[in-house]
Parts: sequence; structure tokens; C-alpha cells
Amino acid sequence: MHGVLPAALCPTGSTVGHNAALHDGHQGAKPSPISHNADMSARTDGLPEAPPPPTTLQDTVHDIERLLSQVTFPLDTIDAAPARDVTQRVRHQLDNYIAPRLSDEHAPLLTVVGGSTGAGKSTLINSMLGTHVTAASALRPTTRTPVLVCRPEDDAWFTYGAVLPGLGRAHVERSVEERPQPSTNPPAEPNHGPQLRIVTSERLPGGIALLDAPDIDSLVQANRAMATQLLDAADMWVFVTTAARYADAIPWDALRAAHARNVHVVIVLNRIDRGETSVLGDLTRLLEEHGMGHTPIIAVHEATLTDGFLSEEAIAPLSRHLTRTATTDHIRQHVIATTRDGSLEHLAAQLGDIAAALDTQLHVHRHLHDIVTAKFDSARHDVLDHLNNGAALRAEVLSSWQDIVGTGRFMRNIEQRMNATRDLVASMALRRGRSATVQEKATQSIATITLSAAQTAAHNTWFALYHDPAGQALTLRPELAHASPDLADHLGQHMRQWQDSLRELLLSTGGRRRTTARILAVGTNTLGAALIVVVFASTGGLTGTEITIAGGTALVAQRLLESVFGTEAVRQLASTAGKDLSDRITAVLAREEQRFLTPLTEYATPPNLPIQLRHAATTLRTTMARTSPTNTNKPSQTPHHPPGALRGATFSPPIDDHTTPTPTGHTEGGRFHRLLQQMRKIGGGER
Amino acid sequence: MSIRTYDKKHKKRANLEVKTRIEALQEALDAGRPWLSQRTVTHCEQRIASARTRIKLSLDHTVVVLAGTTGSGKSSLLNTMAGRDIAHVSAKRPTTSQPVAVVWDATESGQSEAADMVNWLGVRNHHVIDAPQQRKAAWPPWRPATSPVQEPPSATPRTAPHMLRSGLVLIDLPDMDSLQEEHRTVAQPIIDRADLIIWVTDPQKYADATLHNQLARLPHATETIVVLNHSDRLDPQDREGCLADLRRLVREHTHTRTRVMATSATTGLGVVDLASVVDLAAGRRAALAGTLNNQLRECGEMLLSDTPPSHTTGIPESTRETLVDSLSHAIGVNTICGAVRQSALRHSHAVSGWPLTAWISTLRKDPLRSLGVRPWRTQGERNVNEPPTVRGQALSSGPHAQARIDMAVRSFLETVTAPGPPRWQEQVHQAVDEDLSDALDGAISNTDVIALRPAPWWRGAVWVHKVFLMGLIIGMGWLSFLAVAAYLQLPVPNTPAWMGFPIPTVITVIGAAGGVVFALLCRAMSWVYAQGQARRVYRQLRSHVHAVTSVRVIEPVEALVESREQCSVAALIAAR
Repeated sequence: MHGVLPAALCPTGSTVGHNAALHDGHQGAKPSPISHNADMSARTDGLPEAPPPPTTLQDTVHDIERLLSQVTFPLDTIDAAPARDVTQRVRHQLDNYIAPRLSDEHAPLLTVVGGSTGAGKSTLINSMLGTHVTAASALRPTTRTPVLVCRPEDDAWFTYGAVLPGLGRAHVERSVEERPQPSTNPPAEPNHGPQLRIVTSERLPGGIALLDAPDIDSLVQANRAMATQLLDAADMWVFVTTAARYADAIPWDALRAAHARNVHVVIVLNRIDRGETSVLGDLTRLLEEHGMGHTPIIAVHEATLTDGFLSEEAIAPLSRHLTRTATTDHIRQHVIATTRDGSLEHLAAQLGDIAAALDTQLHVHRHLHDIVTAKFDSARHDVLDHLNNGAALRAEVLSSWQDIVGTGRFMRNIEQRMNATRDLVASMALRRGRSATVQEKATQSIATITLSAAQTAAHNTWFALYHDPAGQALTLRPELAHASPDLADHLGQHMRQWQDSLRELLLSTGGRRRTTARILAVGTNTLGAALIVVVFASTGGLTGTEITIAGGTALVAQRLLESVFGTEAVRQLASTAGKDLSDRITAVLAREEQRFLTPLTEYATPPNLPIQLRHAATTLRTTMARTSPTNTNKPSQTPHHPPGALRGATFSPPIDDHTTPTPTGHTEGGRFHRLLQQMRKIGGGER
Repeated sequence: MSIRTYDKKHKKRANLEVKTRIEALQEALDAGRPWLSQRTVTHCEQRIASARTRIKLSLDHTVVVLAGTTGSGKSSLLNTMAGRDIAHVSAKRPTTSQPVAVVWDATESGQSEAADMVNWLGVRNHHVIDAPQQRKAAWPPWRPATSPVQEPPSATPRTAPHMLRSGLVLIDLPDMDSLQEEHRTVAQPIIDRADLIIWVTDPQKYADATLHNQLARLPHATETIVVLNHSDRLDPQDREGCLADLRRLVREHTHTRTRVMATSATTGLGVVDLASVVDLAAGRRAALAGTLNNQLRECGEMLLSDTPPSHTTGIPESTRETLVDSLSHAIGVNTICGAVRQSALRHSHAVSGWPLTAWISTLRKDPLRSLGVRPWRTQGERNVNEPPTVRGQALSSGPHAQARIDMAVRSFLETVTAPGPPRWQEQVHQAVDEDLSDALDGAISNTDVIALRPAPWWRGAVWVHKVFLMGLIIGMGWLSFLAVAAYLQLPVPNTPAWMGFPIPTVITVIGAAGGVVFALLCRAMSWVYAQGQARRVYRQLRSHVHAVTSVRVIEPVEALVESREQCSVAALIAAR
């Protein structure tokens, strides 16, 4: 691309070459008001309905816009902050530049004059137009409201067009003849949002619009953001810097960004002290180091202002360059196409970056999710293990159970197949309270274990999240460090429900009348207690010292149940009741887990978004490859542009002026430039 | 340390203050190291180390740095103030890449000290200007010195070099905003160690974002002067406007009271004023102590924000008692005591009940035995392999007990650490012994306090019962003898009477009624005895639990609570 560019962009600032170039420009764009107006009207009319050739490109861009609207970076991962900025910038660029540029190929070339604070941007624009369109002063930052200067014909496009939709329009009707009132600068701004002042000027060549941007490194945050936004919207940058600050870091960041996007840049090195030459060479060297050796540099010397304007001589190279770029069709088209393609390429690359950052979001979210589930899984495992291996069947429970079954007398009764039902009823009636105690104790035991496990899990999860930089957002809720306050009540409720369900289970199992009679004889409470003992003792079996205590009594419980229901039914009963219990415990713990997972969903990213973004980037690239040649092959539609009359555009300097700066940095460009460079070297050596 | 140190009282005091702060900060760091964030610890340690080195190296020199944006004329300003061309000046940006120091000192020892310090600051090359040591000669600072000129005057003598007092080290730094990032990395540490910062900017750059970001990032503690250089480029009216604007911006973006001055290295405008301000600072040497104090104070505040002082001191007694109570409950001390009471009642009934019915109570199972405890301690069994109790296994271990212990400990820790930094809270949680439940189990199972102690009145009660029983038996026997004799019509001698009642009847009645009444009395005494036993066991077990809890929970937690208090108190001192 660089091979083409310098040929198209002739060195407009050069002392010798610019005359020829200027002539070309004049011949190429002979002003013809009628045809021009016709073209303009055709363009503005055709804007809304005519489906332009790059429909697919526009569709793709529209798709990307839609996708980007979904992109948020809720988790504070390492790359979240830069990625948010990138996304914001990409969105702005899509709105401000890419979408309007794709909608109209022949809209005026938007040239943004940007640069460091105090570099003299406003003075340059005022001097070129010969009018005080923007305020210039010694106090910084000067320009707070961006000012757009365009020809009257283009006014409609900038006022009602799609360019910079985020900015309000403040119209200033001012013709060239009108002298500015210093007191009215800047105009009082309405309170709603940032504004763009639009000024029309006949002196401007057609097909170009100048935008005076705020400082790129301003102290005022809003100015900085605005400057970045405006630079992103530009077809061409006129980057103004000064001898004192050409090595500042922030402008160079902007220049690098422009280089990455392949924006057409012109650097104006302002305020050079008279007789100072090393600066220009140094800037060239820096540009070459950064791979931007082809960038044209236009030097402007520090000079006293007359009436607030630079002299025609000082402003001449810039005026010539702008006029030439605006009025020569192929240069203009080339600049627009280069910047547009570069921006689209860059957009595709940035989509990749955004997708990568989204991947990180997904991974980190997954990781946080895993932290929570791992802690609560281990809690659940612990509790269920204790249930299954019978460890929850504490000695207290067993001894209470023993109290119920008492001594051999009870066993005898059972073995007599409950002939003496009456005795049994009596004895059970006396001990009903105790079987309730067994149930209470057993369920209380489980509840305590579950409660403690839930608390531990909450505590561990909270601290694990606290140590994760992205998870710290969750730990801002201090109540998550503890289990939910109503957990104990909730557990108690579940346990009561479980006891109730046991009773129902027993009754429903005893379908036959005889069994039901037996159940009623023994009492559901006692059977329930027996069932609990069996549930806890049967699955895992007791080990060690517990077997001596528990084994015998658990066996009694089993016998009791078997005597009522039969062996198979008892096994069924035990497994159903056990499953019910573990389900309830799982549900309780899951509810605790949800306290973490529910807020975590607020930090979720749609899982297929990165893939969609990458896909969109690929589509964009292929569409570009397919459509861009057809786009550029339509020179016939380009309207004619009046040359305008920027100050200094027709200024011809005296031949013997050695100090007139020469544009530098052309790596290729024929004999003429080599000669020029040699001349410069010789000149530098002399000084 | 040269002889000039401590020649003024206030200087000595300032120095003492610095030392106190260093000590306090060190103490706070040592106490809080386990939980303070790595960043804080590193920052504070660097500050402490640099303050220590600084006061060890020299207290007689004031380090003034010229920092600022590229092209604002730092080097020109240095040259102007030094009165000769020391730093390289050029239009190329950025110009200065290595810092250059100028030392004003006349004495040999002072010069070598200054050399050491310049070296410590990381400045490779420095120039020495012999300044007159006599203070009087240099006062007032703007009056040219009367001593003969020692230096050959440079091409354009712009300021008299001697108005700058002895003991000043002026350093020209690389810029802070250029493309060369290494310049920033060179300049930043020197700025951090400076006693006075002169921030040089110019009319073009004074509203740069960089400038003010950097200015806001300067060590707040260090005294700063903002200088608007190149002010000759503005006409006087603009200059005033610019200065006012700059003052406003500086006020908005820096925390300290910062002086703003306009200078011009080319025309010499304002340089004398600047030099006299610098000179005054160097003369007082207060810049140093003030800066060090401020830096250390800042570190103290940083620590305080990490470790806010707690409202309570130590762990309140009620909280400890609650913990011990709930732990005792968790491992089943209450259950044991209940069993002890039941068992003691049962035994006491068996021993001291009415002998005719007392045996019935022995038919019920001993609750202690059902817990697995042998209720009576026998001398011979102490050394048998079998532990005196086995119930501990069943009661105080197992998931349920574990859960209750965990909950008790957690609620205790949450009460103690409630408003604390999370990392500290975590430390406290980790400080608790993980084997707590085993230790508690051991505390109550490997003990024989659960065994019942016989009541001293049992023996007497048994005798009394025996007497009553004897009486009953004798009376019954006598009566039955009389009855048999009467049935068989055998002649018997008259039964003796007492107050008109036959003696055998009286004996029988007394034997029976007395036994029953005495048994009731014993019942009451048994109740008291059982309560006593239960209370004794509870007290002893609780004291065991208390001992274990103290060692395993309270003491480590208390140590951390104390070190937190220590940390915040020391930080308060450092930040005072």
C-alpha cells in the first residue's frame, strides 16, 4: 500500500514540487457549479433509499454493531479495563465513521485537525480560513467545543447526516465576511451533552471539511474523550505538534493508533524557533523508527501573529496540501479508501482482541462458578457420607432407642408375633414421648451437620472469592460470608416434613388391613423412629466401637419393622426414606449455593459471543476482499469540487528562501525527492 | 554525620520525630505482616529503608530535583541556577536522558557525604560547587556574596552561584512525559527520594493531562514547587492569566499546598526568586525532616486504611465464657452430667433407700453405664489398658459433635473478628487448631472425674436403716412370738408396756415408720447429693474444656487480635 501512497500524495509542501502539483489540482477540478450542484442533490437524494453496492459490507458492519451492543465486561479481569475502552472506541468508530462512510462514498473528506494542547490547532484553522472561526488563546485548554468547518453545500450532510451521531449540532450561521465578536467565543452551550459547532465557509475547497478537535492530551477528561472520538471519525488527520512537544508520549500513542488503522496523517510541526533545524530531522528519525517514514511533515515557524493569523507564507504548505488533497479526485478517493480499509482491517483485528477478552471473561466466570460449586459439592459429599456410613447415628440417638425397646420383655413380645397386642399398646403408649425424642434427636443431628457444612462452605467460598481479583466483586456483599440466617429454620422445616413423609410412607406401605392394624398397634411414631434408625444404620453399617453399641439396637429396629412389614418391604422403605432425606439435604445446600450463583449470573457473558465476534471479523475480511475493488472503480460518479481559496494556497515563496521547510520522510518518490533529501542533508551539515 | 547536625533544637526534634515514626512503622509492619497486602508491605518497607539510609547518609544536604515535562527547560534552569553550563541543552526532544546533580558544599566531609548520597540516589555524574559555609555571609540569600569569586564565570553570568547555600544538591532529571519510557523509570525513584520537588512546566504544556496525572502521582508528602518556565514567551498580561490558571489547576490536582512561580531561564526572570526559595529550604533543612515525616506519615495512613483500629480491646470475658459453654455443650458435657445425676440418684437410692424397697431401683439400667462409663472408680483398675471411659468415642467425636464444635468456634470467631480486614479474619480462622475436637474429646474422656464419689452420709444412713430394720425385725419377731404363743395357749409373761403401749408394738411401729420416714429424708439428701455430683462433674469437665479451649482457640486468636491492635496502634503513632 505504501508503494501506491506516496505516488498519489505528491509532496505538497515541497518548495519545488508543489507548483506542479497545484496545477494538476487546478486542472483536475475545474469548478463547474451546475454539475456540482446536480451531483450534490443526487447524492443527498439517493442517500436513504438507493441500495449501495457494498450492501454486504454494510450488513456485516450492522451485524458487528449488533454484536458489540451485547458486549459487556462485567468481571474485573486483568484485560477487562482495556477491553472496555477498546469496545467503547470501536462502537464510537462504527457510529461516527464507518457507518456514515460506508453509506456514502462521496461525502466530504473529513479532516480532523488534532494534536497536543497548545499546539496551535485553532490558530492554524483560523489562519487558513482567514476568519476567526474558533477561539485561540494562551489559556489552556482553548477549544472545548469541536468546530466543524465545511462548505455551505455540505452543510446538510453534516447537520443531518449520519456523521458523529453522538454529538448535538449547534449551528453558527457565519459567512466569511463577518468579523468575529471576541466576546461571543465560545458560544453558550446548551446543557444537553456535547455539541458540535458547524461553521460554513466559502473559502474551503469542495469535498473537504475541517474539524477543530479538542486537545488529545487535555487535562479535561471530556476533552480527551472527545478528541479520541473525533480522531476516530476522521478520513484524514492533520496532526499538529510543536517543537517543544513532538516527543511527548500521549500524541505518539495516538499516532501509533493511527498508523495501526492506516489513517492518512499529515504532521504539522508548529512553532519552530527561527534557525532551528535539528528538530525536523529528529522528528523524521522518530517517525522512521515507528515505521511511519512516509508521513508528510509540514513545518511552520514560530512567528508573531498579525491580527491573530499566521502569515500567508507560513500557512502556505498546509493550505496547498489540503487544497490538493480535496480537489484531486484520485488522491481524495485514495485517502478515503485507505483510511476506510485500514479502519475496517483494524476493526477486524480489534474484534479479535475483544473476543479474546471475552474468552477471558468466560474462563474466569467458569472458574468462579467452579469455586462455588466445588465448595458446596464437598459440603454435600461430607453430609451425605455421614448419613450413609451411619456416623450421624449418634450414641444418644441409639441410647434413646434402646430406652424404647427396653429389655428382653419387648423382644419377647415381638417374638410372640404380637399376641399380647394389648400389652404392647399400653407399653407403647407410655413410650410414645420417647419415640418422638428419637426422631427429634436424629433429625436434629442431621440438621446440625448440614447447617455446619453449609456455614463452612459459605465461609470458604467467600474467602476463595475474596482472593480472586475478579471474584472480589461478589465479596462486597458481606452477608454471603455466612450461611443464610434462616437456614436453621429452613432445615428444621425440612426435617419435620421428612418425619411427616415417613409417617405417610409407613401408612401407605401397610396396604393390607392386617398390616395397618399392626402399624396402629405399634404406633407410627415408634415405627418411624425404628425406620430412622434403620435408615441410618443399614446403608453403611457401623464400624469399630459403635458396632457394639449400635449394632444390636439397630438390629432390633430392623426386626421390629420386619415383623410389621416383611423383609422386602423394609428394604424398600429404608431406601425410599433415605433417598428422600438426601434429596432434601441436597435441596437445602443447593439453595445456599444459589445465593452465590445467582449474583454470579449477573457477571455472565453469553458463551457464544466470542465465536460470533470472530466469525463477524472473518466475514468482514472476506467481504472487504470481495467488494473493495468494485468500490474503487467508480470514478465517474465523483462530483466536481470547487478549489476554494484557503489562505496561502496560491502563495509562491521566493526561490532563494533556505529556511522554508521541506516535507520529509518520503522513502520513495523519484529523483526529485532524493535530490531534495540530499539538499537537506547538505543544508543541515552547513548549519 | 557531620558536626553541623543538631546545631538547632528544632532540627534535633524533627530528627527524633523521624526516628520515632520509623520505629513505629517497623513495629506495625512486623505485627501486621501476615495479613497486610503485599503491596503495602513492600511500599512501607521501601520507605523505611530509604528513610533509614537517608538519615544515616546525611542530614545536612537537601535534595532538590528538577522534574517535569520534556522541553520545559529543566536543564536550562539548572544551568542558570548553577551559573555555568553543566547540563546539556538542546532543541531535540527528549534531551536529558541521564540525571545530573550539582552539589553546593565547601567542606571536604560534606562533599564526600554528598557524593555518597548522590550515588545512593542513583545519579552517576555530579558537579561540586564550593559554596561558602558561613551562614551569615549568605544572608539575605538574594544579596550577592561578598567573598571573592571562586568559579570562573560562565559566558553569561545569570545568577550568582553563591546565593545557594552549602548543603544543597540540585538534580536535573529526565522528562516525565516523553516517548522514552525509560526516562520515567530513571526519574521516578529519584523523585521518590527527593526532599523538594521543583516541577517545571511551560506555557504550552501546563494544561497537559500527563503533567497533572504525574503531579497528582508525586509523593504527596514531598514539598513541591511548580514552576512555569519559558514565561518570557508570554506578555505580562498573558503570564498573569496563565499563572492564575496554573494555580487553579494545581490546587485542583494536588493535595498539598503547592507554590507556583513563573521563571525564565533565558532572561533570568524569576530565577532569583526560585533560587532563594530553594535556598531557604536548604538552609532550614526542614524540607528533609518534613518530607521524611510526611512520607512516613503517609505509610502509617496506608497501614491504617488496611488495618482500621478496632473499637473493642481484646476478647471480652463474656465471649470466652460463651465459647466454653457452647463447646462443652457440643461435646455432650450436659448429657454426661445428666447421666451422672441420674446415676448418682439411682446409687444413692439403692444405698440409702428403705432397705425393703431399695433393691427395686437397681433393676433399672445405670444411665452412666449405658453411656459406656463405669460409674465407680476402683483403685486397682487405674492402670489397666482399658481406658476408664469409652463413651467419649461415641459422644464427643463423630460428625454431629464435630459440626457443633465447628459452629461454636465459628460463631466465636465471627464475634471477635466482626469488623476486621478480611485477610486478618482469614488468618484468625486459620489460627484455630484443627485437632480441636480430638483434644476436647481427650479432655473429657481420659479423665475419671465422671466417676461417682460415695456420699459420706451413706454409711450412717445404712446404719440407721439397719437399726430401724432391726427394730422392725425384733418387734415383728416379738409380736409373732406372742401371737404364736397365744395361739398355742402357752403362758407368757406380761409384755412390758411403755406409756400404756406394748413395747413390741412400739418397736415395730417405730421400726417401720422410722425406716420409711428416714428413707424419705434420704431421698431428699440423695437428690442434693446427685445435684452435687452433677455440679462437680460439670465444673471439672468444663474446666478441662476451658483449658483445652484456651490453649487451642483463645490464645492463638488472642495473639492475632493483639497483634492487630499493636499494628493499628503503631500505625496510629506513625501516622500521627
